[in-house]
Amino acid sequence: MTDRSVPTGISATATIAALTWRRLLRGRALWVSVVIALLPVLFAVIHRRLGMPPKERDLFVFETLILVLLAPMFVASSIGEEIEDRTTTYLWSRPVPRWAVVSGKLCTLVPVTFALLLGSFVIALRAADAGTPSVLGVVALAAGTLAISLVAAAIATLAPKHGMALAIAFLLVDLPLGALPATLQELSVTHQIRALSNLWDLGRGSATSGAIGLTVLAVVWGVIAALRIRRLEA
Amino acid sequence: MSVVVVDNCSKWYGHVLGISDVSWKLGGGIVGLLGPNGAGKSTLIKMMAGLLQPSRGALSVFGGSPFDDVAVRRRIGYAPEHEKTWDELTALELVTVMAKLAGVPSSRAPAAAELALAHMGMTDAMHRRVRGFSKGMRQRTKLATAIAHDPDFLLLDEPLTGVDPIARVDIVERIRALGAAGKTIVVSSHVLYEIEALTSEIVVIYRGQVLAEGNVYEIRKLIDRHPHRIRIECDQPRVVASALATADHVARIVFERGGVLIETRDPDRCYDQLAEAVLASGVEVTALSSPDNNLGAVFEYLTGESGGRR
Repeated sequence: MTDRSVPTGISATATIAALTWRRLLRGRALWVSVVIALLPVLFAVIHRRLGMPPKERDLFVFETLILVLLAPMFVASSIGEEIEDRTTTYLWSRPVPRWAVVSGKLCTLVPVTFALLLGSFVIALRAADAGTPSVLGVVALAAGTLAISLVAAAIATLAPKHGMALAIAFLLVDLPLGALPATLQELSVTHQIRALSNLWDLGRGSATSGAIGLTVLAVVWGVIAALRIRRLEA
Repeated sequence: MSVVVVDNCSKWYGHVLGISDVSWKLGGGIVGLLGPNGAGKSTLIKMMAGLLQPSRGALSVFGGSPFDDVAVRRRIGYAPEHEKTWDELTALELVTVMAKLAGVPSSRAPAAAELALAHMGMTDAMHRRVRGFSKGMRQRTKLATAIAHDPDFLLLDEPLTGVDPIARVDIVERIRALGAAGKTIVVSSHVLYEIEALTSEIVVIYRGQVLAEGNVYEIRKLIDRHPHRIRIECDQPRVVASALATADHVARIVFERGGVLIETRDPDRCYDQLAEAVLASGVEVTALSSPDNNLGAVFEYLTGESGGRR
């Protein structure tokens, strides 16, 4: 007789994370994103050849742009396709909390996205002969990957069919939002990533305010994703 | 105690009605949900599986809400009607993941998955990726995902659709074996003979409402009271018509282009007499069809005459 226990949220998250990893390895998305992640390296090589080697700050901007593409590509498409293809019926008919579907996917896709970005950043800096990345730069990339993945997850739960496209469009609008007056730029996820990286002169304590702002925005988007997926029907 | 209690349940998808004011109790055994496409069978099954919430009314399984209560969903095994699954996985990987998510401990999940696949006759193919599976193999794999965690209540949405006749017989046997093992099973289909092969207890759903429920033979009798139409395409329709014209079961004969349409109250006798007439006269029959095989036509008749439940 089989055990009648119900899986915990953590064990369900781990199972869905392993499932996501296996599917990622056997699909094409990972290899497409490796190619995309190599673009900053190409940028660094070309500029160095032209005698204008980019600085860490320039490459960080490029990495943020790549992040805006990769996170929706992984997270929004993964969640959106699951809902659109109705494979969620398999997951939601199981005795697992709905949020475990999002957390399981994030547990795999956030580290993969971050690894691609970090690898790309380190190699691009080497190619530009700009040394190694700053600690805050790496922290900002890591925290930014999580925050933007949560944005992508929330948008995918709100509009599964066009989740990836909408998430990319939203984040492309978010990028210039950081240049707007102070009160509005606080709403920009990419602005908070830049602030946290401390690679710009954004005033005293910009890294701290960036960390706080990023945390608040990540929590807001995370709550939207969790609440939305709780009520979604298959 | 009833396994399922549906109390005045309705479900809308925006302005589209899924099911309307359904009240129904399921005590146990194998029950067939019969209805044409779009009748509301999948909606009712998804509500019992905890995938949909009623827009109005209440639905409970084992005394709890399947949508909100994970302990209730632990006791349910669900095989959806659609084919989409994670095709990158092998059958064993897929069923193992589903078993883990249903609460089978990680250490025991692969063995439980192997057992479920073996029960569905998929042992030889369990290390192959689902992507290359035929329709029948996909159906078997889906059924294995539904039973791997040893649920008490199985919801099988159109498990025989698209399956070849040999696989169909095999799957029917396996589902019946699960029923004999004490599982409560709800199977949906839009084909009466598929349901008849599985169980004698059926619920007829049409346009979101429970139209009739009970023993399949009673419902078949009800359906058989409706004149059954047989269309015969042949080279000499008048010869066929004259051979059947005097039979007491024939209600009407209509000549059509290239054939004749017979309305009968006794299809079995009509088919027998038709075969005799064709053999005796040497008429060349090119096609034989029954427009009433479309359940929609029969259900239209049932609703049209009764306007509600029988």
